[in-house]
Amino acid sequence: MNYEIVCGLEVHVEMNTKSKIFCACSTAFGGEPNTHVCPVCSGQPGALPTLNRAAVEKAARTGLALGCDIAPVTRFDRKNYFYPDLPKAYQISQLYAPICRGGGLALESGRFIRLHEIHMEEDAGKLVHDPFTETTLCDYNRCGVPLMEIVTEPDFRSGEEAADFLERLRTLLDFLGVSDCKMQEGSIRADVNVSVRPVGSEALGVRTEMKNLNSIKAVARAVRAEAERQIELLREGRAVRQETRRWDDNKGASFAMRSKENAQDYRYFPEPDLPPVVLDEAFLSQVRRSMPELPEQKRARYLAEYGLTERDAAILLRSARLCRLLEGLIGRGIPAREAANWTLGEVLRLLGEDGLEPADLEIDEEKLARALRLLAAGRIGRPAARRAVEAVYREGADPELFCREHGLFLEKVGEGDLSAAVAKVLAENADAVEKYRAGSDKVFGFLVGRCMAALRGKADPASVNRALREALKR
Amino acid sequence: MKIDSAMLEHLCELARLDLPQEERGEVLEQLGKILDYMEILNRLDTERVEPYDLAAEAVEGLRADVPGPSMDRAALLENAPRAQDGAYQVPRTVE
Repeated sequence: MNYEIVCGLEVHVEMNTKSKIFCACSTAFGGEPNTHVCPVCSGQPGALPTLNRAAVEKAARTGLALGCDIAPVTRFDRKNYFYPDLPKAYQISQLYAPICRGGGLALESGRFIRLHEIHMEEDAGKLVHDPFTETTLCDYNRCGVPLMEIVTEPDFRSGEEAADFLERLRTLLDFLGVSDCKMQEGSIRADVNVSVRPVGSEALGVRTEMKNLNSIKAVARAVRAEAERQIELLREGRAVRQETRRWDDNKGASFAMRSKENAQDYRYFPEPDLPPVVLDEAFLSQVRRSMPELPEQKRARYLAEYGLTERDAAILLRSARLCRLLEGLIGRGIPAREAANWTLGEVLRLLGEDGLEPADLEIDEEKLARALRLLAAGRIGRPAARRAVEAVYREGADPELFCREHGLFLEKVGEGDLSAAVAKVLAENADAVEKYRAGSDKVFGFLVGRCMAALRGKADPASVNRALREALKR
Repeated sequence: MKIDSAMLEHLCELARLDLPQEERGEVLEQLGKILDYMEILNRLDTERVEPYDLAAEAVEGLRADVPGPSMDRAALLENAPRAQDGAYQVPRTVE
């Protein structure tokens, strides 16, 4: 019998607000343990939550971009559980009236993945096992960071589809500006539900859940391995147990969590400390007006208005940060093609050298534009421009000062010096001259290089080109 | 709904309570009485009663996203039964 995979995703996205969802503590990543904690997020008796407006706006923006219905009135509910990552012993989440329902996102293949809902909730703290004292240490800095949980219908038929969805969702969230989208810092985490059923069957099989997959590749691998495990069980005539499993990406296998961790009885009830929130038409139209340009609109504009190639546009559109740099440079008068070439060439190369993601890019756009203007004005050559751009990126150098200090400005070379250098190079490279005259244009570049070297790289390449062409005609 | 000893076992597990065997009978009886009382409430006809709800709030009325000061960590951890390296210390829960 042949089986097919039925898989759904629950994607937890940390929203990039400045303060937590129910208190004013900072959401900054990486602070000393328990330094972004107050009576509200540490669950002190009597402390009351106050909802962060930006979290509601970002969740609504995401919902509108994904074609969801936004609830006219949204509410919070308590999800009770005992685990020291949440000191209140309950998580404020949404069950009965989540902010968004429906909507969806198309995959690369064109298949449409439906969303079940998007709800808001608070993140939990971080637990670290201390091997010396055999105890667990709790850091509540992350506790109360706003999360959106984006829940799909079980529409995926392979791990690759789930991975493609996550990649597309990540890009969209990046452009919406609602999350830092850094999977390695845990700002996007996915749980997957997997079951299998005989091909052609409509009924759903027993499903298992795997939690906290922290890379897109891990999701694809986990779904494939879990489906294989279930198919093997069924082929042996055994049953799949409904359970939560922990995926170990290094071992490439999942393990059932202990039954105690499987004991789930959240006893949800409406959160009495937070009033329902009205999302009226006035609010929604304000969210629509502040909606940034989305990847599909940008792609069309980059091709039509900027004249970029499909390939360049596709690479740029993987990162909102790169697009912002590109548009910033163009806004500062750098021609679009040139701006794209430097963004995709030198800037990406420098990031790669430092092992950074485009999202981590920090560069003074104005200084970068000034370096590129020196090149466009013919005051420096390309190799010099590359050095200047690197200096802007690495130390925020002033491009004019940098070029002066390093003697990178091209000099007006007198016609006499120019023709002398050209004549000398032609005399020394009779072979190349012969090849050029026999029709090989490739050696021309070589001769230009020799002339530039003879002039110690200070001449303007356009003049050298011209002088060389003329001399070769004779 | 009736509470039986299996349900009590489950509740104890959820609440992380280690209830001595000799107390179980008494607790079972008390919980049963509470549920019986709830049954009385359930008999009320609430068909035409509007559900009570907190007054809904408009988005503009919500807290602006401006970070404020957190609590002093030393003061925070004074209330912790045990602390280590600036963290709350609890019995081992992660592997």
